[in-house]
Parts: sequence; structure tokens; C-alpha cells
Amino acid sequence: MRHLSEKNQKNIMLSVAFWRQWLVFAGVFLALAAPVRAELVIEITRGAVKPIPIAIVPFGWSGTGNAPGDAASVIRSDLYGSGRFDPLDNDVMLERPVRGVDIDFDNWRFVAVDYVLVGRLEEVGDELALTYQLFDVYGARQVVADSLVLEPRDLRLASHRVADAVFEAITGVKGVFSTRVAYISVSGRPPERTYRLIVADADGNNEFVLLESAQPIMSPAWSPDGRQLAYVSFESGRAAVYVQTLRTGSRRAVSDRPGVNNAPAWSPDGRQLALTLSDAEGNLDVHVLTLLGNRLVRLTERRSIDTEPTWSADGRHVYFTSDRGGAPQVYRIAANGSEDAPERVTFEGNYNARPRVSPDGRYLAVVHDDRGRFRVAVQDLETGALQVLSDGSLDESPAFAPNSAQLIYATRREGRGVLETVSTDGLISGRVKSVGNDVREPVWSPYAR
Amino acid sequence: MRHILDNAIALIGSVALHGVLVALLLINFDWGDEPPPPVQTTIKARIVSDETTVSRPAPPAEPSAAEIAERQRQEAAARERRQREEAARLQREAEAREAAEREAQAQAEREAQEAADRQAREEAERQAREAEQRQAREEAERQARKEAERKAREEAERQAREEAERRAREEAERRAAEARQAELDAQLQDALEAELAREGAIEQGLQAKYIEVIRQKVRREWRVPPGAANDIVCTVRVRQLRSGDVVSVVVSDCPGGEALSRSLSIAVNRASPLPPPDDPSLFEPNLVLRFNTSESE
Repeated sequence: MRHLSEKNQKNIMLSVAFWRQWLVFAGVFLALAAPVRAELVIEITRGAVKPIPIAIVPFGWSGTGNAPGDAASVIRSDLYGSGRFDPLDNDVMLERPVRGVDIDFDNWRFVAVDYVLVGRLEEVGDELALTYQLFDVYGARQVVADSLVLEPRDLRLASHRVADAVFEAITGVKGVFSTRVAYISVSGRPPERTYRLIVADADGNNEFVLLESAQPIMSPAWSPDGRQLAYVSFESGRAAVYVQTLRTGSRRAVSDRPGVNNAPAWSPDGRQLALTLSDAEGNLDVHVLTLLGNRLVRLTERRSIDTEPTWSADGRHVYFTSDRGGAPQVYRIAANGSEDAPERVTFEGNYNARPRVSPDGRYLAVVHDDRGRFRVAVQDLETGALQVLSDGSLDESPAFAPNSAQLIYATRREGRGVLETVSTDGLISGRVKSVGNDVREPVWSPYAR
Repeated sequence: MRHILDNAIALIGSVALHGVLVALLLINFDWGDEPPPPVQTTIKARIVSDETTVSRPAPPAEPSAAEIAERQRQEAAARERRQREEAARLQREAEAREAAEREAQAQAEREAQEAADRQAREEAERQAREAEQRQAREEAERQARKEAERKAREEAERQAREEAERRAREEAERRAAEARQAELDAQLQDALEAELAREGAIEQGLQAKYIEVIRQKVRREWRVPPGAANDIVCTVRVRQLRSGDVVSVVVSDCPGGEALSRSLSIAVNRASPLPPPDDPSLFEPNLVLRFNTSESE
């Protein structure tokens, strides 16, 4: 709940960082976390066949003046936006209880909802207490309830947490409403282009610019604790990998070797980065960099292109794309460099690239050539079965939500880069409304720790 | 004041009365001597003899001077006595009259007082009555106003409730329409499965078919939680009334977690009332239904 309070501090730190960076790399701007127009508003293009009917009763408020925010509305929007719920309209509610004891379940059976959520917000000194109770309407039983104490400015985040808990209690899957998404936004025409690394709440709110540059920014990657982002920036004239701390805005170049420094991916324990580096002949290979001590291990040694590394959920293997078989396919190799030859993982079709392993280790997401169209697909790592999830023709950069139940990816619509979402079971699709800039390379944050 | 005036009037009246009495005495002096007026007779008497009779009754004998004096004295005494008696009588009469007048006066005063009292009482009563009527009227008006307000409030509440119910009905209808749509979508599959169910029924008997129809209705209401793994089988024990209304649902032997168990319990409740068998003798109050997470769309 406290971690958004980083923001003000970050403003100050960013301006310090700004001047330091500006002196070193003219033309690179670390932006001042100024709120920009929300670019990340997801609208559901295909929902569940049978969404779950739920009533989210407007929350009560006891305190001075007006309520500092509408928690129920945030929760409602979250659940609706998941595509799995059908929230009841407020104006057809026959009663508006704020406590479980006041619920008349017949009133809710009458409007045919399976669940009813009630809650209230109370002023407790300088803080707020957000209390909620979720009930199974037919069983007339409480399913989940909690009370959160928070600072008023964290009300949105707390509301997302409630939505997470409700989502989990009903679906058995952890909600991701309280998480964030990072992505790259590109505006302007060459040579006057501006690249921004942007972080926003999963519902598109609280958007802020982490980095702004006239040179390309690529491949953002969240550290497992959600506190840092690694990315590639061309601000020095060639690709280098940086790690930036969100709280402070401070950053450092962790790989700025001659040639290519590309595609950083954090190990699950956060101590290592898998990278693609080029050797003197320009040959691309996958390496693992231990951040503490700057120790580098080379995993692949071939004249083929070996790139786009990602870690297995247990951290013992690294998956990557290689054209060693003639066409791009996904391979897997021991992360400690103990294996000479990688194992091929994908077999269906002649193009499977840009692998990402779901946090639960069950699925491998890839960009798959589906009869001439590049689409997001997931392969069940146990059975090997591949399922195409997206329906575009230039879909790329899939990234799992931390609950493994959803993916976000980039595609092109009407000549522009846009972001879309799809559930891992393929049933639910969403589109991210964009304000006009090219957006690409979305990456979902882990759960805050 | 009035008393003094009355006394003065009485005094003056009394004096005047006495004056009149004395005057009357003087005037009446001869009245008593006068013989009764002569009776008209058929005899035509002559005036001469008449005069004699009138002026000087013929004494039986010539009285003596002493006798005359005596008689005169007696007559005077008698006259005096009569006068005294007459005065006393007049006095008594005057007094009686006075008393009667006083009494009448007092009576008049009493009556006036009583009339005034009555009037005052009546006035007070009238005012009280009017006040009472006014109060009653105001109370009635207030009641009427309150009643009108209450009715208006009730009407507004009734309208609001009807509106809410109408919307709720519309919402329910919308959901029902959606459910129908979903059913249509499922129709093909259902037809196939119903066919299978029918085939099964032929083999296993009509009871099995009946239970399968119930199972399919529940399955259509079932929203499998996305977190549930594939191919999980859960057992649901249902008790139903003759009407098909579900009395209790117990999900057992369901290794998919609480959300999955609850989703099945909700599905059974949503499917209530459960469809009846074609043949009423096949009705089964206790059902055991099995569902697989991979069978729902």
C-alpha cells in the first residue's frame, strides 16, 4: 500500500538524475514523472460466454465531507474489464446495504446475481479503513472479507487490492488489478522521434514517464521484486543495457560492451540477467550476467543467431530463440552454462520466437507463424500442445500477467502500434485504447512485494 | 348607587302616596254617607219627594240634641276609625305594592343578572364551541395534510419501488435473454448430448434419462472458474422437492478448491426449479450428479 508514495521522492531524485544524465548524454531526458494522458485503457473485445453476475453495492462513507473516492466504482470497473464478470447496474439494486448483516438475499436472488459485494470506507484519523465483505447469494454465506488501513492517496490501489481478492475468491485465480504495466511509446516522425518508457497501473491510471529519449528505447523487463526495470537504450549511440530503480529514478548501465547489448531478462531470484551480446564477428549469443560482481557466463556458442532469452520458472534453464535449425525456433539450455547443446522446445510450424515462460511455469508464450500471420500462441510445457490465442497478423512481444492467466502483447492496427490482451485460455480478448502514439513491448509487473 | 336611587324613588313615591291618600280622605268624606244609587223602578217618583228622600232621610223620631251630638260623635269616631283603617289599608297596600315593586325590581334585577349570566355562559359556551370547532377543523386539516403527505410519500415510494422492480425485471429479462442466447449457442452440443442422453436412457432406463436432463440444465448454468484445472470431476448431492425446488446442495469429492465447489453449488441453485420427469413416478428427491471441468463451454 505504501509503495506509491515513492512518487514524490522520485520526482526529486529524477531531477538530480536528469542533470547528471544530461551532462553525460546530451539529448537524453529522464522525464519528471509528469502525469501524461492515460494511453492504457483496456476495453474488452471478447468476454466470457457466461460472465459471472455480481453486484458491487456502492460503499458507505463515514467521515468529514465527501468520500475521497469511489472504491466500488474502481472495483466494478476492474471486474468488468476482466471480461469474466457481469456487474449489476447500480440503478436496478433493490437495496444498498453496506454491511453483510443488512443484506436481504432475496433481493439479490431476484436480480439473479451469484455474488454481492458490500463495503464501507471510514475515516480513522489521517488514515482510511476500507472494509469489504463478499457473499455467495444462493448460499447466503460470506466468501471473503477484510479491512485495509491506508492513506487517502492510496485509495485507488486499495480498491484494486479488493478487486484482486474478490477475483481470486470467485475464480480461483489471483487478480492483477493492483499490478502495473511498462511499455514503450514512440511519437513524432524521423528524425524528430521521441521514445518514452512509461509505467502505468494495470487499468491505465497513474501513468508516468520513466525515461524519455530521442534515441530508441527497447526491451523493458521488470525485476522479480517489481522495484527495478532493465531496458536497452541507444542514447549513447549504440545499444546498452541499463537498470533503473523506480523508487529513486537512479540507474546504471549494467552492460555497455562494444557491439550489441540486448534483450535483458531477470532470473527469478533477481540476481542475474540473461542477455544477448555480440562477439567481435557480430555473432549473437545468449549470456548470463551476475549483477553482483559483474560476472558473465556465455551459454551459446554457434554461428547462428541465439537471442531473446527468458528464464524457466525455477530459474534452472534459459529459453531462447535460435535459427540454428534453419528457421527460428525456441530452445532451452541450462542457465549455469553446464550444457553444451540446447534442447529444442517448439516444433509446430516453421516459426516460433520471442519465448516467455508463464510465472506458474505451465506455459510458454511465443510469436507463432500461423499460415503467414504472426500470432501469439501458448505451448503447454507438459503436453507440448500449442494453442494460437491472438487473431492479428503482426502480433508480437507477448508478456504474461503475474497470475499467468492473461497476456499482453503488441500488434499493429491501422498502421499504428497498439496493445492487446488475451486470456491464457484464449476465451477473453481486450484492446488497449491508445491516444495515437505507437506503443510497443508491453511488460506486466510482478506482484508488489 | 342604584340602591340609593331606588330608595329615593321609594321615598318620593311614599310621600306622594301619603299626599294622595290624605287628599282622597278629604274628597271621600261624603262617599260613605251617600246611599246606594237609587234603583230605577217603574215608579215614577216625583222630584219633590225624591229630594226629600235624598237630602234628609226621614228619621224614625226626632233625635235629641244629645243624641245628635252623640251620634255625631259616634259618626265622627266611626269616620275617624274608618279613615284610620282606610289609611292603614292604603298604607298596607302601598307597602305591599312597594314590596311588590321592590320584589319585582329585585326579580327583574335577578332575571337581568340571570340573563346576563346566561348570556355570558352562552357566549363562553359558544366561544368554547367555536374554539373547539376551529381546533377540530384545524386538526382535521392537519390530519388531512399529513394524510396527503403520507399518501404522496407512499406513492413516491411505491413508484420508486415499482421503478426499481421494473428495472430489476428488465435486468432479469435481459439476463434471461442472454441465458436463452447462451442456450441457443449450446443447442447444437446439447442436441448431441441429449441424443446421447436419450440413447443412454434407452439402455439405462428412463430414470437415468431424467437425471441426465437435470444434469444438463445445471451444466448450462455452470460457470467453471478459470482457475480450475481441466478434467476435474466433482460430485454434487442435491435434495429437491416435488416441485423441483432445490432444498440443499452439497458438493463433495471435488479436488478443485473452494471456488470450483461453490461454482457448482451456485449452478444447481440457478437451475432450480429442476425439470420434472416425464413420468411422475420416476421423481427422485435425492440426486447425485457428477460434473467434469472440461465439459463446460
